[in-house]
This record gives sequence, C-alpha cells and structure tokens, in this order.
Amino acid sequence: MIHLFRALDTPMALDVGSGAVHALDEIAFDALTYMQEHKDATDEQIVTELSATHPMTDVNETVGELRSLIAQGYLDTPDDYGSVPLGDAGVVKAMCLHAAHDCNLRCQYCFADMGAYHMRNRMLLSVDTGKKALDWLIAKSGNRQNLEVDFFGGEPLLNFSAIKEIVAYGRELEKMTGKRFRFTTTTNGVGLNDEIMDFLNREMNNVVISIDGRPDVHDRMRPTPNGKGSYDLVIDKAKEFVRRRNQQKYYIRGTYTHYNLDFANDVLHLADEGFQQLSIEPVVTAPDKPYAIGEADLPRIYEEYERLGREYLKRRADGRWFSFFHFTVDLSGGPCIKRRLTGCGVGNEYVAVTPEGDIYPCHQFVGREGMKMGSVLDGSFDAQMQKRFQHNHVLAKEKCRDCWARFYCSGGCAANAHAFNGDIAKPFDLECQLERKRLECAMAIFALEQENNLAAVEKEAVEPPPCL
Amino acid sequence: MKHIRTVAELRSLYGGCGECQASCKTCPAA
Repeated sequence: MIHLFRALDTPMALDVGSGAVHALDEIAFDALTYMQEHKDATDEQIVTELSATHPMTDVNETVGELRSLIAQGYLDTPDDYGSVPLGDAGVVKAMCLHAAHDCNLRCQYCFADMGAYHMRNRMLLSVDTGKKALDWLIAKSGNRQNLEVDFFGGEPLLNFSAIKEIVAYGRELEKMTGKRFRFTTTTNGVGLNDEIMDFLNREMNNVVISIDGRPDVHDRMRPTPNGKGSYDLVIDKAKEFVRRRNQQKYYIRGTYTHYNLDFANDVLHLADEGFQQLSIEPVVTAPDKPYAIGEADLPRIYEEYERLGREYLKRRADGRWFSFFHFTVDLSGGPCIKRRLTGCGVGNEYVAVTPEGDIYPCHQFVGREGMKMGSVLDGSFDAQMQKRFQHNHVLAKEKCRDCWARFYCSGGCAANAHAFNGDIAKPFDLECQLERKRLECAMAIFALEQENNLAAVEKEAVEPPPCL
Repeated sequence: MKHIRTVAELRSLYGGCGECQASCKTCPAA
C-alpha cells in the first residue's frame, strides 16, 4: 500500500509496508498517482499518458526510478503483518498510579471529573496502597526489566509526601529484583516549589506540565476552585523547573478546544516563553459541550497544523529551536512492528491503579461501569479482560485494516473508542482524521528539514572561504 | 535519483523484546 499526499506544499509518498518515506517532484507524484490508479499499466502506457503534461525524458527517468524503488523493496511492499505473534500474555510492565483523586484546579474539559473521577469521595493514595501497587507490578512483569510508573491524578503533587515514600520503596525494589523503574509525573504545576522541583528532577525520567498556551486561553479553561485563572500561578514555576532540568525530559502539554482553533498561536506562545518541548492535544469531550471539537472544525484545524508546520520549520532553522510532539516521529527508526501493532498496551501491558487500589485498563477508563479489572489489595485481576485488550491490536480492528496510518497510531485510543462508539475495537473517527493530518505534516517536515540540511552541507562544500 | 528523494527507510520482525515504554512515537532480543 502506498499513501500519496501533499503537506506543506510538498508532494510525498509513504510506503506502508516498509515504512519508507519519499519526497517527490511533480512528475513523480503524477506518475505514482497514475500507477496507483492503473495497476496493470505498462511503462510504455505510463510514459505515453504523462508525456502529455511532462517532458518525455523526465517521465522516462521517473518511471525508471519508481521501478528501481519497487525492486529494492522501498515502494509497494507487502504490508501483511497479520501473523506477528503478540508476545507474552499476562505480562504487565507499565502503570498509571493515581496519587490523588482530587485537584486544586477545576479545568472545564477534565475527563476525570475535575479530579474526582465520578467517585463519591475525593481521596489521596495511601503509601501502603502505593507500595502494594508496585509489588503487584513487579509480580506481573514476568521477565521485563524496564517498568514504567506515572504518577497521575487529579493532581498528584497534592500527595507529594506519599509519592516520595513510594519512589523510595521502588528504589529498594530495584535493588532486590534487578528491575528498573522509570518514574514520571503529570502535573498542573500549581504545587511546584523548591523541594518538589529538586525531587522531580532527581527521580523522574519525564515530567508533563499542563499549560494551554496564551494566558486568556489557559485561564478560560483552567480556573482555580474560586473561579480565577491559573496561568499566573503556574508559568514562572514551570520556567524555573525547566531551567533546573536543563530543558531535558519534560513536556509542556496543552489542550486546545473549539474556542482556540488558532492553537498554533498557543504553541508559539509557549515557545516564546522559552519552553522547548511542547505538545498540544485536541480536547476529547461530549459533543454537546460548547468547547467540543466537531467534524465542521476539521478544515480549520488542518490549516492550523500546516501553519504551525511552516512556522516550526522557520524557527528551527533560524535558531529558535523547539520540538513539537506530533511533528517528532522517528521515521528512520521508530518502534518495532510488534510495538506498532499493540501501541500503548492499554489493559494488557499497561494499567491504571486508583487510590482505592482498583485496577482499570488505563486512567481514562477509571470509574467507567464494567471496566474495573481487579485490585492490587486482594490480588484479583480479570485475565479475560486483559486478553480482550491484548487481542484488540490494530490489525484486529476492521476500520484500521486498510488505513495507511495504522503502523503509526496503532489503532488509536481504546478509551475514546469505548466512550464514543461503545466498543474498544471501533476507533473514534475524529481522532483518526487528526492523527492522519499530523502524520502527514510530520513526514513533510522531516523531508524539508533533511533537504535544508543537505542544501546547507552542499553549500558549505562548494563555497570558498571568505576573503580575509 | 533526480525525481524522488527517499528520506526515510520495518519488515524488525529483531524486534519484539517488549522492554520499550508502554503508555499513551519513541526503541535483549539479540
């Protein structure tokens, strides 16, 4: 399967089976388009057809190049990965550990019911339950050496003292078992202080801080319990935290809504504030909310990703470098095919644990009826539900089988599929469309940056040194 | 090549050690 597209005014082709990405000129784009539409066409027919609009010599060259790429296995390669074994059933190696089902903000779009997760009581994780969660993860991790634990909420820093003790316990477990914990934290940043910053920088492999962008955009959706904006509470703390962290291993992560479809301005605002590792995600919420994103917004959003892509290229070239999560796809390497089929591992390799010790497929499933998998307190675990998630890989989803993006999105978010379509195997279409657009932009950016680097190297090679 | 530039070049069927990160872009098996 070949996906032909244009992004950032650049004609491109992705060979789905091999993962090879090609930048094309207009002749190659037209030739490959014709070949896709006329699978049985001979080279002579292709040349005859395209010579009406392009010089025959160029068309001949192009067809030769395309045939060469096909012969080398970089175009039109088989993409039948259906027989890949899915690995060890029953192994869990990653956990979203809910340190708090409470929050010091009241974000309007919060999927977690402003921290309470639709539970009766706001509550904090006890040290004892946290330790039992790590014990459970070790016990379920089979022969895996690398384990991940993300402290999540609500707002996890409301329970900082417990996090410290749980991490210390994890370090002891590492010595006893030979396994390694990769601890991370997702926070709104309100509670950051010197002690917490130093601890997070010492112990956390990655920290995600939620900031939506421009002050008015952020404050509209992320108020405090008394209704005031939280931008001023967070921004300087986040800057200091990132400075102490040497701009490494963090993300400033925002959410955009129907209210700010010009979200490129929010990404650029955060870049202007000195943050270099940025991500902004579309809100996922009930369609009747005034800030929900709908199908009608897609053309505007596509334009905005293109606009962000152009500015991204410009800034990275002129010394104002920053990284945008969705434009940073490792096209030359990337995960192995098995990881691409299984994605985040939801409900299988990856689970969430609540302050009550309950186990859910991931943080977004917490509190949903019928989705509790067990408890770290009594050791119960629904192996049948785990198996259902294990077999819910991208190739098992009817909608994904013929999608060119299936080895990049891995079938999308199961929680969104469940929420919007009532079935973890039926992906949420709006999410699919946005992901495809972002991938196209990422591939074009990769090609354009590579071209610019090549041009710079070539220029350096042929330019004489300046006269002294 | 004059008309096509291959910028990135899956059939890792080397892979599958299961040690990489799980949770909601990023690599023993040898």
